[in-house]
Amino acid sequence: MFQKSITRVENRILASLPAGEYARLLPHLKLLTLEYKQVLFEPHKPLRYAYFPEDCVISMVSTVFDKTIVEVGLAGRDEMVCVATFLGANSTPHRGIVQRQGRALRIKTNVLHDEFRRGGRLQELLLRHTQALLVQVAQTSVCNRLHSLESRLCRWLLMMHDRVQADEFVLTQDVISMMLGAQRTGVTETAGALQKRGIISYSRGRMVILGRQKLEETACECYWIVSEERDRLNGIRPTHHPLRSQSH
Amino acid sequence: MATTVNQWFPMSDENLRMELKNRLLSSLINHDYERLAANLRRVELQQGDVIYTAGAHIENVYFPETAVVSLLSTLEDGSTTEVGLIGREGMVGLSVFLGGAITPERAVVQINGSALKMPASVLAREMRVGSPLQVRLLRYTRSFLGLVTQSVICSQHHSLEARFARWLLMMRDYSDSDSLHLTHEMVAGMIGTRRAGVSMATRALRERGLIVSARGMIEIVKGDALEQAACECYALIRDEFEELHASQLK
Repeated sequence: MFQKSITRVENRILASLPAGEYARLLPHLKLLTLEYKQVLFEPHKPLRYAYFPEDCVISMVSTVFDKTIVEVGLAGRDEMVCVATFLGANSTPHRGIVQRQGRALRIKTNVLHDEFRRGGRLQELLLRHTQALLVQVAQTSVCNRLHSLESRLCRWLLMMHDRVQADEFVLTQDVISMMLGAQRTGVTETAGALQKRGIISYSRGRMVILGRQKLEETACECYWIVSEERDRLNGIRPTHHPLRSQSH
Repeated sequence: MATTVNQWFPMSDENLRMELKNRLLSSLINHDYERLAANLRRVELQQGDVIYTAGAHIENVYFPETAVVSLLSTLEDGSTTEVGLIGREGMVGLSVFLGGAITPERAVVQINGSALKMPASVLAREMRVGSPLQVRLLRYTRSFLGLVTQSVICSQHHSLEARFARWLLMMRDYSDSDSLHLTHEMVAGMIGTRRAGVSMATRALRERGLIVSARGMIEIVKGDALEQAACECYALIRDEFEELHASQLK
């Protein structure tokens, strides 16, 4: 049985559950491999499942009237999609797309919601996750308005790097432009500049992170605001920005 | 904190309850409301009052009635940008509800008016399994997340003029008035642009006869045409909050 094989859970929300709560969910968790670009749910349609990434990365994207796609959130093993499954309206205006292929644990929405309503640790973890997501989305909106394409690209690559847990990943230019809401030509130029500085290597849709520290130095503070808040909510001592003071 | 307290009385009186303008609270049935009432105080908030500073521990949450509060993200250079607006449909202090206790954002009063203030500890106590207030706050969280998310899209794809029009309309709806007391400096911080950008957008809307502006006042002259000038985000957010309200009255 696949259930019995889930002995070590990578997803941090599930891994933080007390044994009793986890045991209740376990028979309902299905381990799946999600494919790159797979669509997990469509906007304004009832959500049948919630997903807890193990080593895959899921993007929440929004389609604007003119068919432009904008990324509004990114989820990896510290996270889950979609918060609407327990916020009492079982649908979302967004589409869930797999950004990096990999494993995830899937659970039926009603089972998750029932466990959420018991008011145990799962509820607490999911609400904290919601708070972290709010900060991620809010900061993305600020960042889009105020920061250069270069610092935004660096922020996004760091967010991907954290979630992919590997230095190399598939990434087409179209995807980058969508995620950052930028023109393709601008992305090509900016990625080229980072490559010249030896921070990344990028060709034929493969991104390799060569200099994590330089990437951190070039990214805007938005990356740190979001990751520090998530770490704080997860009860982890934040890793501080190399250029920021340690005091808050 | 700069909150001006005009009234300090328990809100348990039935008549006062009927006058509640906050939609989260007014949709609660008597029994559930009465438990909270003794801990609610009506306060008058003034434009510019700072309710929370970023990183501060939250002592009280606020249910706006006629007041409108902006949540602002502050960057290291001190610049602030609005990430969300909270009025009668919601609550200021969602981080307490979501378990964060600390607010990452600064909260500043945008429009004068009343709000009901409640100690954060009372909210935490109320969040026992399935309390009606919890159910309402969960649903509101989804709508608020929708509002913040819409700003991501808006900031990337819509013109300054359309964003400004949307923001003016939201302010009008909250304050139930076509006359808005707003300086360019405030607006610039809110929509994330320079003062010069706001001046340009104001002039554009004025030349089209949609608004008139003078000395920190903006008056909406043609509301319907201003809706046409605003991006689709305005209608999406308005509908989301109307739907939220309808769902809570069920």
